[in-house]
Amino acid sequence: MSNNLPSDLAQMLTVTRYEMYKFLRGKKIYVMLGLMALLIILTTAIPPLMGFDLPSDSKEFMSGYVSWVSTLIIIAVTLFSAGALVSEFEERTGFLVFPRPVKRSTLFAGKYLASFLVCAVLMVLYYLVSCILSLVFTGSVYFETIYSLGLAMLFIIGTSGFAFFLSAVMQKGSTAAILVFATLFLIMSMLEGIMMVVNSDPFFILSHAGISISNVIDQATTTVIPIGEGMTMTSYYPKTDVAAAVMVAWGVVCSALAILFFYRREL
Amino acid sequence: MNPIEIEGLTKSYGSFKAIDTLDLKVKANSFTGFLGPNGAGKSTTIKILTNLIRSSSGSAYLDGVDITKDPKAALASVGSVVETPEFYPFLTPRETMDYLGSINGMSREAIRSKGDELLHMVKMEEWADKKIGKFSKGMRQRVALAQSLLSDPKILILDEPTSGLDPRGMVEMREIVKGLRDRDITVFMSSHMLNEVEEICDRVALIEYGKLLIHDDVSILTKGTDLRRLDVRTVKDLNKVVLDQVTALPLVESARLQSERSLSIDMRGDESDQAEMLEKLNRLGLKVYSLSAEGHSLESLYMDLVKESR
Repeated sequence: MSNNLPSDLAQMLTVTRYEMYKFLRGKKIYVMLGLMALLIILTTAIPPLMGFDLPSDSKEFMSGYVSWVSTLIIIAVTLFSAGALVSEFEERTGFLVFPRPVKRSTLFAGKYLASFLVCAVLMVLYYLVSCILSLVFTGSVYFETIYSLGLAMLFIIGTSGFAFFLSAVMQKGSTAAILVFATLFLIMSMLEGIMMVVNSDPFFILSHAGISISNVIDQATTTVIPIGEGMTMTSYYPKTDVAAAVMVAWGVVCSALAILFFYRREL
Repeated sequence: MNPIEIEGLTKSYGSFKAIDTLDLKVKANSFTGFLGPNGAGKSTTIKILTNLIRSSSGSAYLDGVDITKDPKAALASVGSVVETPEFYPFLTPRETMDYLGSINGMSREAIRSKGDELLHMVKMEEWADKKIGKFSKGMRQRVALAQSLLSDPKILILDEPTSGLDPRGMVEMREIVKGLRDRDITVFMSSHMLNEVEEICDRVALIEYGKLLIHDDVSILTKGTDLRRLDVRTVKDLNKVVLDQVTALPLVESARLQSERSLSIDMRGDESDQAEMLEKLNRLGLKVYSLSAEGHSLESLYMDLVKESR
């Protein structure tokens, strides 16, 4: 039998296929689709309901939709990645799959790819609907949106790596999910704010790098803001290339650590 | 080389050694029962053999490949059921077979035909397309056994295969495992149930404190052990004097009063010695109306060896 074993790549694709089944047959995908639909409806409907016109400029129009993307990615990664590894231990499915002739690193790669794909497809769908709406309401689509989408993909890589790392070390999926969400949404943002107050560039913080997803359209620049008595704080905006590198670095380092912990973890 | 060869296998947790330089060679096509008291190291050994935990030192060869060095290749010819595995609840048994068979490199046609055959064998064919999330523990255990045989493994490792099953489920599971005798397969199974091991296995390996105490054919091991425990019920009231008389009888190792009209006797001997014992007890005027052997030979052997090692 050993000679007939498939390659690691083929096994990885098998794992990915069945992880995708898990996502497609679960409720989480509907939660995400519902949330995306709600945000699109609110972004499109609230200005007219409040008596304002929708922006006629495609850049300004897209900005409203893209501002939600990093939040959506954090929620998607929390739902699809945080439990990916820990569930094999917590739900004891590892007893079924670990004794099979497949490397843990292959299982990791298959699960990571599935998680990335589901998040990526959801985000592409969100951008697609946003672009269609832009075309309908402004008659055009702002070109830089494609860069925003690219940065969104990199943000998925970075945040997924972080979520997989926590999934590899935590005992419970719920703890991993809470920590992923709290860290990406709250703790990193707080750290970012503190660093801005002391005029230090938080370029290395993952959530700060995620700002580039919307800023590639908004094109805001770093500004110094007086906060009284000769003191200032700096509102930093990430440079696109640095942000891209930071997101990839988070993805690579966290994934490497996740593989290491997943490999060493015993059932 | 034997299908399973364990050499100097050790698993330490700090200063505690769950397995201590364990050596064991499991013969081809044997059905080997892996016995030992709680904490003896059975599950640890099986978990190392199935890549669930890593050893601290030593080697464990499965079909000639050291699992501590190359788990993927070593597990290519192994099927296993460790504890009661949980399945992915969103998959059906047929889809589970497809997933696990694909990992093993089986073709879709082979998975379908073999999977259906195995699900029929474990009487789960009617449930083949139902989501496993709704299955009882017994049903999951059957599917677990079916998946373990999917890739026609040369080695089948079972950890407490009837654990948690109802009596009927236990009997059916044992029949299925016994039915594998006509296949080219080596079965290595741990169990707490000595009658189960005696019924299924032709060889026994007994470990305690992570070390192998004995490993041989069941028939050879039980031949040398003729200790049996008799439960004796009498019409006549029993007392210390009678107990001393019973203890003094030939072949009796010890005797204990259980109640006014029952006693327990540990004796050496076979069935004819047991028959003679009945006559001797009646000659003492006990008026025995019931005499039954509680323990059987493998259990006696187990108790003897475990007692000696402590």
